[in-house]
Amino acid sequence: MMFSFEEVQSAVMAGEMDKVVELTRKAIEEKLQPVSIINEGYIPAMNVVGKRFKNGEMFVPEVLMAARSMNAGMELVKPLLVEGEVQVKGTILLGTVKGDLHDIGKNLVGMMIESGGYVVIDLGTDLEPEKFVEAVKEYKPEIVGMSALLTTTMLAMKETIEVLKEEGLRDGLKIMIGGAPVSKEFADEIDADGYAPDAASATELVEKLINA
Amino acid sequence: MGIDTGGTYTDGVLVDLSSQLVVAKSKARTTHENLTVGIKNCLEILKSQSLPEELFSNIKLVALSTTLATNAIVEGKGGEVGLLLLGHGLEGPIPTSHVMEAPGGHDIKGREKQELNLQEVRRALLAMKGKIDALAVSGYLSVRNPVHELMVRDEAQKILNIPVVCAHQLTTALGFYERSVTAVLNARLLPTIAELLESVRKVLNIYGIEAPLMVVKGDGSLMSESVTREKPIETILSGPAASIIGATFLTGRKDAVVVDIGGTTTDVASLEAGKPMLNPEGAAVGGLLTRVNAARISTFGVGGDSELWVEKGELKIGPQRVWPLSVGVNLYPHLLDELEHVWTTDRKTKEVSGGQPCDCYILLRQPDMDNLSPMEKQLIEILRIAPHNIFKIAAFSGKDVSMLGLKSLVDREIVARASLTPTDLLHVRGDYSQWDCRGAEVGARIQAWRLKRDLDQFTNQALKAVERRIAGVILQSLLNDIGYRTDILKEPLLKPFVERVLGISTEQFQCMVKLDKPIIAIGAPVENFMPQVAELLNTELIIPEHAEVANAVGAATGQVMEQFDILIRPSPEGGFIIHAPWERKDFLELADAVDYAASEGEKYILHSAQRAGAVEVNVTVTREDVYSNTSQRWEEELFIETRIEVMAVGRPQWQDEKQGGQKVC
Ligand code: B12
Repeated sequence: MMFSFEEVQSAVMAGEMDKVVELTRKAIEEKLQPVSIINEGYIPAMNVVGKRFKNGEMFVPEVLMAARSMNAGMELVKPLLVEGEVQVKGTILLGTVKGDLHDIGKNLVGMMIESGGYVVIDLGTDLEPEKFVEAVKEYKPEIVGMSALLTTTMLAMKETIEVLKEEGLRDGLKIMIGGAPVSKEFADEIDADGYAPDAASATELVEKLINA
Repeated sequence: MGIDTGGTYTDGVLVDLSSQLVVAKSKARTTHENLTVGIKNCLEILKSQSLPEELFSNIKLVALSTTLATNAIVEGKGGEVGLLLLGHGLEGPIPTSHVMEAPGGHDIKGREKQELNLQEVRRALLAMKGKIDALAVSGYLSVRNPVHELMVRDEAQKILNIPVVCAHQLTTALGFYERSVTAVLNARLLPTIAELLESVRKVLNIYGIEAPLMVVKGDGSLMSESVTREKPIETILSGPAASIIGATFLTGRKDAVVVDIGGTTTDVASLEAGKPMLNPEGAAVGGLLTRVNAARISTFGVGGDSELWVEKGELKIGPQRVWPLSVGVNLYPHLLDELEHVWTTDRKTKEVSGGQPCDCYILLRQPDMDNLSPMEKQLIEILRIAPHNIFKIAAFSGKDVSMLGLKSLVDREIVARASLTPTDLLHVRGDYSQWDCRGAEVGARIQAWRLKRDLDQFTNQALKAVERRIAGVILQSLLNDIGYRTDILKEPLLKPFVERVLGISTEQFQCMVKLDKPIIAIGAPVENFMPQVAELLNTELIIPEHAEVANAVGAATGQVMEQFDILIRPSPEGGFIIHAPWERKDFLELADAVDYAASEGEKYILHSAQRAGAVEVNVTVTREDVYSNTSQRWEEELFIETRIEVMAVGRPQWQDEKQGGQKVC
């Protein structure tokens, strides 16, 4: 049986973890690009899950199953992404802001950036602004990336930037934001340095910010 | 009456406000040890101009722009200050050694981060008691909730009985470090400014002037004597701001680029709607960042006394400031003979490196000989007898002319260097005759020879280079204003265009810029350089009459202006939170929050404006609801916050007047 993206997609949507793992192994054996497994396999599937969840065709447990099965596949792809790159180009802190538990998109972004040769420090989810401050002091990153998936938590991004300003840490940093509801306009409004709509462009954004 | 105590001169003007004319002006040397001496001399010169007697006795307002606060900060002068930090420590230099910390402070939503521990506060205050003349209090995120700073202030007034400065009252900007520094500097300046105001008052009394005394702030507006006593930090960098206000008064223009060419530097600022554009970062003084409002001024190292030097067959301008040769020769005529000798003989005998053949050195003061190297001592001995050209110094000391080692003496301001400057070239061209033209000419001849030019060619080329440089810095400053930071003559992609704009090159194509506002030029050499500069930038040039006292005019014609923002944000628990300079307050409905902010803001600002000495106050309250679009997929509008901008503008109160106000909404 040949590997097909459709199969991976339906396995992710159905939350069939074993099947996702099996299909991913096959894809790797067939020497498919790790990046395309993510971009053409997992992400379209999660997009459909998103739509169905919104329309009430899927419920929280099913969504979680889908996410978990994707993560299981991701565990296999991840080592391949990072392989080969040796030189460290910079450090990026990543986290989902206060009040927000969504981390699938942020994790994807993290993996993609890591595969681009950067050190990614993932701070987790539901992070108080103070957590970002502590981590910036500890790791002295070039970039801080914030994720929010809820319109109500987008404002926590603004607040986090404000606390970084109060601490005198803002000027030495580049700040990028993302998450489904986030827009370029919002990024400009809250004085972030950049916004990217998906994991692939997030990597480009990192390059751009580091070289600016 | 406007008075400006600047770096070199103290200027005074009398402005007739009904006819809007400058009726008298004077200049006296600034006396740095005691500014009031210079102010008194300035008034004396005004008085001696046989003006109508009633002019002096009719003065309704005295407005002062002063560098005192800036100087005091740079020199580290002022009272002993204690700093009490609430809820957070500080990294970085703090301009006091009495720093204590107590639990307290807020979070970004203005909720208590830590309870204010009044017991700890009292302990800290008692520990500083007797050691400090004033206290600065700075709380973490106090700009989102000032209550802890206010509680500590009340406590401190009970225990210490000294002036207390709260950081949130000086600025509403984020930045705990900068706010704390601002509060400390303000506290430190309290005695210094009080002393100045008292002695100026005494001088005014001598002349029978009883009018209110006001002081210029860094944004160019005025504040009363009593507010100045509380917020002296507001006066830093007020000189340049006053000159911008003066420029708008003297020209009647509201939008312009104001260019001030001095001896050492050229300052460029933008005038927008009659007000100077402000620096969003706050003012930096003596290496310390503050959060004080100040006009955004770009300063470049090119002026009338910038060194014109030749290196590897190229002419360079500045940034070193030197004495013009015309000035040196004027004071010490024998230097002319020495320079002539360089021209006839020395220049052919030896190449000079690390300096210019026309350089001359003058001893400024007798230094403490113990701190000097043997070589430096020898040089001082030589210069003590008379200033000399470097070839003479080399001959006297038996050293090579390129190895004299005078630079460290110049850096320590023990000796001064004289060399060729734009001021000299204006003497050569015949535009100036104030100093010694012959000295300027030999210098120019020597440098022209080094570039293989004749005197006229060289003079024109060098003056043209100065004009291009000034046009370049104006362009650079305008680009800075719109957030462009890189050097326009270094950025590879921009360089070919800028070179063509400035006429440095015309190869293959030409390039032109057109400023959309006029240039207002002030400063001594503007008539000579600025017409060509305006031509390069394709704009109108205005050189107002009385430009040389623009600062003092700006002081006399300034307005009182107060401004702050109130933030209204959605609360995580539902409802809305107001963050105002005086409090944080919760509301259930946005409409109620807005009403409250607008009406309380208006009362608050009217009170501040009147305390600052304003009459005919116009209060404007502007509401801005800030929304942002979410991503296209979402198609939702997100409410971010409501900003209520409260502003009051009034004219300064004159002698024998009552205050009142009105509201515009
Ligand atoms: C999965 C999911 C969940 C899972 C999360 C599991 C997890 N570990 O993340 C669970 C079930 C827990 C969940 C819970 C909730 N959810 Co939910 N959830 C989703 C769902 C279906 C998919 C999100 C997702 O993972 N997408 C896939 C990834 C790959 O895409 P992404 O996150 O957008 O990330 C990409 C880009 O945005 C970008 N990116 C992301 N982060 C960053 C960061 C940077 C720096 C950069 C540069 C780029 C970047 O790159 C990523 C990769 O391409 C969305 C629907 C949707 N269409 O998005 C709803 C959705 C986000 N959830 C929603 C809601 C309402 C909730 C709940 C409040 C539900 C409830 N009533 O309990 C809770 C809230 C919990 C909380 N406090 O956070 C709403 C939000 C509505 C709104 N206007 O705010 C949505 C939109 C569903 C809906 N239409 O109603 N949810």
